[in-house]
Amino acid sequence: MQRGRSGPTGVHYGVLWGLGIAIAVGLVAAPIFLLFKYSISDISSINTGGAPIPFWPYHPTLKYFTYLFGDRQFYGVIVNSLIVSVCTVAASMVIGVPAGYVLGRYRVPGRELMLVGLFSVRLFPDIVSVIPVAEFFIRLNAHNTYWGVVLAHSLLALPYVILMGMSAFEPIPRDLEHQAMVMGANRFQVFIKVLLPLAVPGLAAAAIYTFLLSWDEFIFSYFLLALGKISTLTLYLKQKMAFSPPQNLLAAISTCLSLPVIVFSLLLQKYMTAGITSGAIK
Amino acid sequence: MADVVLKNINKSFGAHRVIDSLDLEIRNGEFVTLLGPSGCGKSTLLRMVAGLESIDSGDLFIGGKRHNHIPPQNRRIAMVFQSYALFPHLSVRSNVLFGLKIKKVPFKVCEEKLSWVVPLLGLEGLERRLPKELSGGQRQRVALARALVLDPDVLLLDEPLSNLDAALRETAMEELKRVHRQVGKTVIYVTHNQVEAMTMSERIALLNDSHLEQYDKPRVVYDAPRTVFASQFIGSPAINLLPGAIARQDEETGVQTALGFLMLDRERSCKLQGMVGRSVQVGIRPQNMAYVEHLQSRRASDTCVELTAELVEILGDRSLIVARGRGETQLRFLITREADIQQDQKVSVLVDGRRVLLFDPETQVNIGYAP
Repeated sequence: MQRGRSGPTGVHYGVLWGLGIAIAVGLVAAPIFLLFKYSISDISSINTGGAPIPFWPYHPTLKYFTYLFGDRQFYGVIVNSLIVSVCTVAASMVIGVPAGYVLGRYRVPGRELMLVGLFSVRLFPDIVSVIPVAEFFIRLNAHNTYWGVVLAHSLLALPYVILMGMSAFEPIPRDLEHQAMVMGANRFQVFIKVLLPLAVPGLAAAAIYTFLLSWDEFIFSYFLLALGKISTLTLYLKQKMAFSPPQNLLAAISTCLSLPVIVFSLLLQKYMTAGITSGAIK
Repeated sequence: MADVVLKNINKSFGAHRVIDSLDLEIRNGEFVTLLGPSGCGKSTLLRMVAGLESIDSGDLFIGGKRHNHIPPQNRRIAMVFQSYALFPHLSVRSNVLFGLKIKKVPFKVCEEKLSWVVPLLGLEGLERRLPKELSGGQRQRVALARALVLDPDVLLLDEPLSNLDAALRETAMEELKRVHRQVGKTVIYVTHNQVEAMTMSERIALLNDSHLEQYDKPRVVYDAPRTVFASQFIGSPAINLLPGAIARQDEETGVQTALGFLMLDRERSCKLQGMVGRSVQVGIRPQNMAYVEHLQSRRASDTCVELTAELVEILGDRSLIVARGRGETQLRFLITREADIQQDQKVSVLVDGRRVLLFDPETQVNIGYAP
């Protein structure tokens, strides 16, 4: 007996796949939904007095967002967070991409040792590694400054940027590099005109990751900034939590914290498509 | 325009010697093929001329100037890689103009070059395409166009046709030949395919195991291979090799083999008189053995040998017969389609004495080879 794709096995297979995907999507979407729901809930939908919390708030309201956007401090922290995140992306890409290129394409002596060294800061929980780092930064007078926290975030992001950079440059065929050289390009031109454009998908992923890391980072920001005037979104959230405000306000802040992350990922997603190098080599 | 001269070139990768004191001279405008089996060092040699591989010792001259330490970007060369190495993120047009843009050639000149090379290689209408939207043959032509617009002194081609199918390879070969005739550049072509080497090159440099085996016109390499290796590597089906010794019979000097006494041409017969008794390696090309049903038209230098057909392989216009002669000697020869030989049939075959090759079994060198 022959069984086609539309046979019983095919159908079962499809259902299983569908179920798996549905669960995966649910796992990702549920917290986002809850966050959003709380951020637009009115008090009566949360303090229900024993009754189960409704699936959708009784009286959806945007008043917590209005409150947030009416708070001048909130704009300040958003701008601060953006400055820190964008600068962190810039700094770690400027340092990490060339490093990834060299480590990915050349036999560098002591390469393994360097990679282990780079990762050592991330081998410990942040709360452990932050103490020596913060102490060192304070000695450098880097606390309460933008560049201090940018440097700290770059320190956290660099191992990943370098590793992702390495894997972005490694698969580019060496013939392309040699061809460009034979055509008159020097090493710098080869890098700018051939290797970098081909590494963009991998590097975009590294940039997204770095942005998210910096935007969400709390511990290092707290230790380096908490006593000064500069505050970021995560510190603002922490500050509000200290006054135990209604959950709705926290949810609204969290929504604002998550939104750019989602938008940023969606924007750069098109660069993350694979197969851009197809056609280079027969 | 330039000649390329390699003098006493050496190259090792670790303990492995890739090029062993090699000398080669390529004239201005010449089409030379580096031919040889995989791992003979032919690609390494090409990459040395390109500057992608360092030279351990010896001298490389391009256009009379020593080039050993000139980086690839400062050599007036262009190269087509086996993989074509088209930049996947650039259109055909940008790929072709890549080198000119690096050299900051004015836009007008770029346009002129483009309008010269596009029809030359039949790339009309493909300018905006990306490499992944091209067929194998088109990619090969873009790679060639990209090399030609640079107006190089020397054009280096590293097995550019090995990724094409047989039919396409044939047209590409003709096209390469035509382009070479039109642009008249010095071309160094690397291949392991003897047909490509025979059809296209003015001279073939046959490499084997890191040294130069023979360097001559295709005709000469085929008719007068300098060594046993050369005779085996060039020519298809493969040459028949059998041991023998110079001998005398009926006032004639010839060669005694397991098949019997083989006659030689008069000239060689006289020359070899003094060498009677010397053992030799005898080479007979399948093309130089003729099956004739009626043995009237035979030359004095022809020898008739009796064989039994063991295998008949139909090649198309001709058939290859694998036959066994006296002394369990296996021989291959070709017959035309008109002739009909059955398995186990006893046949008489004429061996053309003028074309019998004799090699020294010790040195493997052709006896009487005069370069």
